[in-house]
Amino acid sequence: MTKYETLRICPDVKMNASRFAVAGLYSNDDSRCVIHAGLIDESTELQHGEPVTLFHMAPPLITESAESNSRYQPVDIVSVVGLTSDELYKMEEWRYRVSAYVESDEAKKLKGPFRQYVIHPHKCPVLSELKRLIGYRFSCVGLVIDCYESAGIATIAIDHQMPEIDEEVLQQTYPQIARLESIHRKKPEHKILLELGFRGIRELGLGDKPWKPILVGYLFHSLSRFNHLSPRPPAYIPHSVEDRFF
Amino acid sequence: MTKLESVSFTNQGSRGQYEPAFEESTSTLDEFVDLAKRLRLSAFYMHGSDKANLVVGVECVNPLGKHLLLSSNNKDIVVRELLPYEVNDAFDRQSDVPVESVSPSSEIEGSEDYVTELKNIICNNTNSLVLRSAAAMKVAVVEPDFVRGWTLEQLAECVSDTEASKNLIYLVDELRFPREEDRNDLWQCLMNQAVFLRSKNDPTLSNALGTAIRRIASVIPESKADCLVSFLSNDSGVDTRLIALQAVCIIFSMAPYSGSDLIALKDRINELRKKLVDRDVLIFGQTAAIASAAISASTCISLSSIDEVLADLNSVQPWFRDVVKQALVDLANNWKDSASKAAQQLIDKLVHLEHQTTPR
Repeated sequence: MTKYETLRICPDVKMNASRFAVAGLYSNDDSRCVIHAGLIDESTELQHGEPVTLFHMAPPLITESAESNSRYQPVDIVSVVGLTSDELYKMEEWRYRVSAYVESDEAKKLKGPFRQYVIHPHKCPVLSELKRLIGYRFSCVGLVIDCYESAGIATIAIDHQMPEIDEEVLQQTYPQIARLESIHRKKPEHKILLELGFRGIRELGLGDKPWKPILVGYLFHSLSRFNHLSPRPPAYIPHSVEDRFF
Repeated sequence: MTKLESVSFTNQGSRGQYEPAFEESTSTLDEFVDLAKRLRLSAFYMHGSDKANLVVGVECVNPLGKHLLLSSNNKDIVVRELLPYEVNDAFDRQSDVPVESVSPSSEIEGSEDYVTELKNIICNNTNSLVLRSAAAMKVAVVEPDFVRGWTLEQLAECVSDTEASKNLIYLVDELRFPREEDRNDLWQCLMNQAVFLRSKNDPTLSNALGTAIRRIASVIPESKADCLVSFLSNDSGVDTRLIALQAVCIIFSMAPYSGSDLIALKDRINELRKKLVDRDVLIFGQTAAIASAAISASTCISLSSIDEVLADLNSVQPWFRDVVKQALVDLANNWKDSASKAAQQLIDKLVHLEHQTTPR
């Protein structure tokens, strides 16, 4: 029977992770800083070191499975939230609707990964020249928040002010982005930036400070409270940037 | 042989799934691949190709690193730029190399040359259109003005070349066209390309076709929206139909249609809606997504149909009513800035739907 819980996937841990459970990755510094989140796409008995099928904003927006070109790496932490059948149906509708925006491999290669991605806000409308709403950009955590929101489940208090982060926190929570940004500051036309379509963190929503993005760790603090179908806890308000650790 | 700056591995990884302590360095991409193999990162191996093995190397770091690599045509550059510091972080917890101190490499000095080189590729008519459009995509990041005119010209001239058509569609999806006459050319050219791709009846083209349809919707005059009806026909793929319905919502995302034309489009959308919004037909996932999109599209084109829509919803599952209600609330919120009273009218109607919905 599936338990509703949040677990670190250690060598001695086995876990039944259902569809729409949330998987996370830690940074590589043993600090338990969570740097990435995605949705488990197929129910699975999860073991340490075993890859899982994920629907996530890598970026770009992708589904990774054993059948796809690149198997996803094992995850470090998983939250299984109890869902009613109605909530599951709503999330399935969301899943299919959002899937329409998954690009083909060749399109991803040509366009680079950042066009669907934003750090702050966690979900950002994309407008055409005529201000028509073409779609949305998401952060990795934003995609998960939106999925649960489609089922009426508020995970993070998104209207609330998030804690401010500085460069050090940015580097720990978004290491690749920080690296690309350091190149961008020195040379915006650097070859790798042109290759990847990276236009700097301002384009990702981190312009003038203060920076107050929703960090991935906040999500796991929120989901760890969802141990029962009812009553549901209120949307989580992060206390400080220390909540990036879980 | 592709060049790779020295990458050193000096300790066991923090995740614990790598081999015990080792000390290696590589100076070429091929050596790097060999090293990855010797480190027995086999849990991550897939197909044994160089590309896959290289993915393994970055995969140790995090998913973005992997996709940066997959997205790049110059993998050696990505490896050079991303691995030195990341690998130190991933494999050597004692690393004292701060990010800022790692040189972004000599590639920086060559960047202007790279843009010039790309422009030369674009302007050289003897190059394939696929190659030229791929170069244009990179130049678009720094010099969109240079790329815009060229792209429209090529899009108009491109006929019967599937690969070039796909690349050009992806390219115009990245560009923005401030001039109205350019936008008029754009949607008409894209329409020709979309019809061409659809005629191929090839599922591998559905992504480019979907991109074209969405981009058409982003700039087409409202009065011309009828041209999307062909993508809603039964012989269009299911995915294409969903995207065409979403495209209608894009066209009318700022305000609902106020005219009385678009008869064919309206009729086809209503046909789809009536067929799918039926308790015996409606199931979660794909069908629900299309049904919900049909309701939103129908509301965009004919707000007066909302009473009929809400009546139909009486018979379907409560969870789907909630999905539709949320979609229509989002639509009304988008319309709030328009001069019409449509947003308020729609909100007023949804109050009735709320009363019908089974509380969660």
